[in-house]
Amino acid sequence: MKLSELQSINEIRLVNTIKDDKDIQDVYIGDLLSFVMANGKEESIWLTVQRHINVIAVAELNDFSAIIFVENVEPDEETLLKANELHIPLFVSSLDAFALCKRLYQEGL
Amino acid sequence: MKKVYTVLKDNYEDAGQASRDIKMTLKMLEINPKVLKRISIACYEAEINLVIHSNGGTITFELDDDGIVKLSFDDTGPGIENIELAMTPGYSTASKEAREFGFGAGMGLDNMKNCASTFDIQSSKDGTHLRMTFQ
Repeated sequence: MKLSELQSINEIRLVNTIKDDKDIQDVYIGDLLSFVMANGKEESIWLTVQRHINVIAVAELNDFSAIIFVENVEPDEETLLKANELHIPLFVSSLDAFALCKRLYQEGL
Repeated sequence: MKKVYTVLKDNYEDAGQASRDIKMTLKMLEINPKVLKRISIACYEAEINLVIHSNGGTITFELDDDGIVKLSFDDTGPGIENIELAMTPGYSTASKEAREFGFGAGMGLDNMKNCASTFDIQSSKDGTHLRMTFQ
């Protein structure tokens, strides 16, 4: 699945200015950064409710394709700016992580 | 090659910057991606520990002619009271603030030890000194 295919899911919206069409190979769900660091795989999308700027460093170090903030969590302003700087697409979804995973699965991920 | 980074106490905004720079440096040198992943995890965890637990300190990155990466983390205290306990997965003394940001899972030192080829930690109230190598 490609990042651009996320646009067809109504419950997901891009919230920064990074338009990219990277591959999505996997999904990681988690809010404790040590677990995400240890277990996240490259080219994953990361589903989290952590909105703080530190998620950007974690996404970058893990080579994640994008971050999706679930349950309508809006990332902090600093998080948006840092993501633009490091070219990491950020999305917000109205769904919770489980519901979003079901949607992604339906879409072929 | 040698690079030294300064890490400030409670500077959450820039936490991870040194780890990112080290990763970029090694990526340009086309290091094995699996080794790079281990270095990234361990370096980030140790950098975060400097931010959330120490009074501040330095990170020293060295790459020798044999391709061995050495990372040193030296802070000025307050030290780890019980290293054995601190190494236990799930044990954490992180502040409420740090936990709100997603830190303090109590997995940091264990993650580092699992990623490093060699791991040595010494601590007193004057500071903690952590050495890791990767190959």
